[in-house]
Amino acid sequence: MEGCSVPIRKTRVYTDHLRENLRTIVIFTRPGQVATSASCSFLRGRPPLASRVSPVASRQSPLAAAPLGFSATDMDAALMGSSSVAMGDIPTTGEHRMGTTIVGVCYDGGVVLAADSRTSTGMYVANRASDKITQLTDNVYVCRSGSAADTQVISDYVRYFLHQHTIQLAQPATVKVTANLIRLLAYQNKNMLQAGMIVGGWDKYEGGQIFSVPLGGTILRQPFAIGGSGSSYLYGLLDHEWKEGMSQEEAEKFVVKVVSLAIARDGASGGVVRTVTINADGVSRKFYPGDKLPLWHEEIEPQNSLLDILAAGNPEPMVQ
Amino acid sequence: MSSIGTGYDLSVTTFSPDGRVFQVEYATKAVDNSGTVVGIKCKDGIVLGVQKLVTSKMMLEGSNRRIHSVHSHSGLAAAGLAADGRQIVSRAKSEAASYEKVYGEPISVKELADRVASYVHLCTLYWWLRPFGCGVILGGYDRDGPQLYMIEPSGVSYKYYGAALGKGRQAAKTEIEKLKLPNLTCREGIVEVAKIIYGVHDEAKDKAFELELSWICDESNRQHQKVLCYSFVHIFVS
Repeated sequence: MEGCSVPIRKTRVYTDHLRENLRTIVIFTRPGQVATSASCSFLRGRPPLASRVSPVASRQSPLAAAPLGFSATDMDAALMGSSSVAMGDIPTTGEHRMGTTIVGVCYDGGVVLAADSRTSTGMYVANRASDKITQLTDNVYVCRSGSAADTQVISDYVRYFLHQHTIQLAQPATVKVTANLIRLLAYQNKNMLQAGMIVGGWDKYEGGQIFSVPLGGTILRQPFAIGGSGSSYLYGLLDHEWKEGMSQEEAEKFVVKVVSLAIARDGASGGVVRTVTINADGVSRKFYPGDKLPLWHEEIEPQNSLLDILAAGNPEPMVQ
Repeated sequence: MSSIGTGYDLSVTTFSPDGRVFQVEYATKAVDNSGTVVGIKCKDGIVLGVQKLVTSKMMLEGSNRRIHSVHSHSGLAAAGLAADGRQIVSRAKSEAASYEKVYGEPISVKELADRVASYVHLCTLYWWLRPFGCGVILGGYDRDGPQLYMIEPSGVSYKYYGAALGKGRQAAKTEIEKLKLPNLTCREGIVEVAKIIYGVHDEAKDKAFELELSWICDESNRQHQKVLCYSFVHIFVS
């Protein structure tokens, strides 16, 4: 915010008229002057305003203020709370969701967890390389789908409880206990949460285990589990191709193949594929970039950008 | 080694000049005056036995249980004030149940013993509570094998191969030490415990008694089970 030697008068702008809750954003102005874009930069999640807001206009509804000096840019539209002005009814605001594909499979000796890496707010990809596989203890990881905030908070709570439990027990927690703690949080707060999670890990009593905790708070132990919006496209594939007792390499290749199909078909899944393998020897993480994934029906080879082609080497001179 | 507190024994929140809490020691005396309770850890499980002193010929046989199941995999026998013992059992049951509700798996015997010990110790911290007048032998069989714990009125809890509380504890401990426990199965252990309890029973001083036995072992599928003991009377009479 720019420095000023005159007293500052607060002005309010009502935004977000489309939502039930009106959010107020306070803009500090000098009396008689307009607020500059810099003063709006603290607005949560919104880029700075490109144009000005007049104190007079700010007391009316945003739509009424529109003719008074708003330029029709995305930025203004964001401040007004409706990007429909600029882009025509396509949502790019809202809480971060992980329209996702998550997969967990047991193999002979452990488990492999895999996930895509797309986090979206509406149609905007907020993070194209996110890590949806979170560590809860040394030997148990969880794949998160649904609301990013909800699953992060659940993971944080469970990590905290498990830490204390591990100290009390003086040995690593079992996968079943971890899954149960997640399930209790998910079930008891089912009205407030949207979280679908797959818990996978290894312990010395039962070996590798996968537990599925979908919306609502069911807990189900399965030899393999899928979740997220992309999982709809995987039921058939897994019914056909799943087999018990794969080796570690087979299992890792299998999950990458499976997640890549979901990425190909599901708009809310994309980016890279991350896998986490957990067994008696420990944990190993692998990364598969989007252009190295197996191709499916009608998919074309990844192309380099035309600019790269033009820049690389000398184009043949045109000779007469 | 008894001594009178003389002024430092009126409250459980008072230390004596030589660092003792007399109320807790008096509570231990209550345990020492009760019927004997014995527990041993055999190679495949635990055996618990109680010398239940029968105060009246009118009492129905099998009533006034002294050995309680805390969980399917563990049992608890209390020596001392019987009502106090029942309170501890009730608390142990609820600890086991709430642990399973939160963590989704049965409580380990070590954790259960810790919680019971914490609870017993709690009652030695406040002046408005009196210490429990009973000691507890807790036996269980979990993922880490059979384990035997003894919790005293002071709240200390130790793991044992063999433990005894009550009037005949000195004699019982001597007998237990003579046993080769790592080689004993629970079937043999039951007979040994019965012999020990019959051995410490003083016909002249004590009244009639009832023997109560239980075990948790591989044979009982790691479940805590009461053992009926009609046949023992014949062994010793003949």
